[in-house]
Amino acid sequence: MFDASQIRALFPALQQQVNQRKLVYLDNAATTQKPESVIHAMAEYYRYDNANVHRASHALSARATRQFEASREVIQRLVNAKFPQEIIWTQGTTGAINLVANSYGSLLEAGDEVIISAMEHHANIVPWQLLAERSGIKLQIAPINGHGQIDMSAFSALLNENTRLVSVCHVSNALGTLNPIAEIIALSHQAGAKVLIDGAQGIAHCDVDVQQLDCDFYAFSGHKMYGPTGIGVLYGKQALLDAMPPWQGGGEMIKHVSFNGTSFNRLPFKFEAGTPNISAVIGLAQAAEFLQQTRASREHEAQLVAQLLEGLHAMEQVSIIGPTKGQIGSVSFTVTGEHHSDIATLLDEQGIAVRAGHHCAQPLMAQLGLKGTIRASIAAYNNSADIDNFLIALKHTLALLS
Amino acid sequence: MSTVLTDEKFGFDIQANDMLQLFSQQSGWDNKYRQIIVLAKQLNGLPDLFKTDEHLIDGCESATWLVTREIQGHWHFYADSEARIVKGLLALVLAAFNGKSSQQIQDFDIHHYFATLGLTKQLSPSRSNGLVAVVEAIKTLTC
Repeated sequence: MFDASQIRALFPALQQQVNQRKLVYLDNAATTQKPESVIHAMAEYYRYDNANVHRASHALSARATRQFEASREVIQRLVNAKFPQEIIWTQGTTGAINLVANSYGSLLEAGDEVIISAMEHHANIVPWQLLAERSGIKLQIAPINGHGQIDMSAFSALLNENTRLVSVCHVSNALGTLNPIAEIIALSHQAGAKVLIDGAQGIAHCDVDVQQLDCDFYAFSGHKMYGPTGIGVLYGKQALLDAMPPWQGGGEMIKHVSFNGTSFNRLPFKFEAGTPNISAVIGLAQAAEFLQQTRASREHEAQLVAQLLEGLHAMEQVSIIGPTKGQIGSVSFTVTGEHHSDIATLLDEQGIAVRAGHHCAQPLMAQLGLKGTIRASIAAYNNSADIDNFLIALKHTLALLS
Repeated sequence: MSTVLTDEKFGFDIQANDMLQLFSQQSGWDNKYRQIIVLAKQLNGLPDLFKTDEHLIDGCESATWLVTREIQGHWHFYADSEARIVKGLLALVLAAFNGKSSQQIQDFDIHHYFATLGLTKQLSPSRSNGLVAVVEAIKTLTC
């Protein structure tokens, strides 16, 4: 049985007041709070085990390395990857996408095509634009319909023998749309294209089984799944990663260096140049353990989204942007006649944390004809009272502005 | 459509001290914001002609514009924002700076002014409302 209050008690940051009000944290799509277990594991590493990994032959380094590689196996289990070396540590989702755009991207040539969707976060747009400038690949955009969903027939029509990669989000960060990624992956593979799923907004709310999905890459961030900032994951199929050249050079990623040439380390180290973010990797494993325990929260989260939608629908001035129901994590809306930043300012005064703006998806906003939206996004630790308090504060805000 | 800039009453007829007195009567966060929204309505703002990239202030979540003119040793400011709260806050800034000399602007402690108004956090660099950028633009212009 899932108990949101028990879960909530594990998060120190949620036990505070903001502007003399109990904090209602509904900006989880930007970053989630961290449970005590994550904070503790990172502090313990720095207190007792701090050493560089994979290098020195001493006790601390051995302990650090053991924890570091054990974390990789925890993440392997989280997404059900076949091998631990398919888990590459990156700085975050952005770092993971940039790795693919630069490494896999270097294998592409002018005339090759990459497809993204119109709802992508800038992190899944700009790396491909840079690649297009470098190598002359063609970037194709799969359009969306009025409910912020990918137009699947238009997407299918874009696939052709030149398509090398399809890179789309699992869940839209701006609208909460759940994309039909299984279908996208199957269609893309039929066309001979590889698929990268930007899982930044998917990992905390959806069960991810990369073998079942059969995606070629899956990218996500630690800090949006109750883990630390500065760490992310690129999952890639081993054969594909093996065929890809290194991107960044430095320590750890080499086997032998001489001025006549350098040979590179095996997976996953080939893609992990430099001293990694060891404490964050250790914290991330704790976050993954927490996430596994909260799998039972899926239904709870769906109920919160439904409660949010119902409350917003009842307000005449409010328009929901995106799907009419079934959002994952985030609900986006606008208020007729009001600027989103005014709404967010007045909600903040009442202790409510939401996001207002373009959500790093300016092309999506342009397509929707909007300057921005207000986004309320939930996590496993939110409860029905949070949604009630948010709705009351929003009503008060609208009354104040009128 | 209007194409001329008209002086705001803020800084000419209404001074910073008037604002301080007005806000000292507002208790509670919601009354302060009600007052800010009233000020937003009283600010003429800018004709669309002036809402150009040239006058856009960087660092604002809502588009905010500032036009400046120096007339016989005194600064005239004209400002506008898409967001009503920012527009109201601009009226407070103009009450302090508009119609003043460079020296008067440099001598004015804007942070103390906002603190006394009870709006310290609205002038915090960590806020994305752009008010800090507006104040910095005015201070740089007159230094």
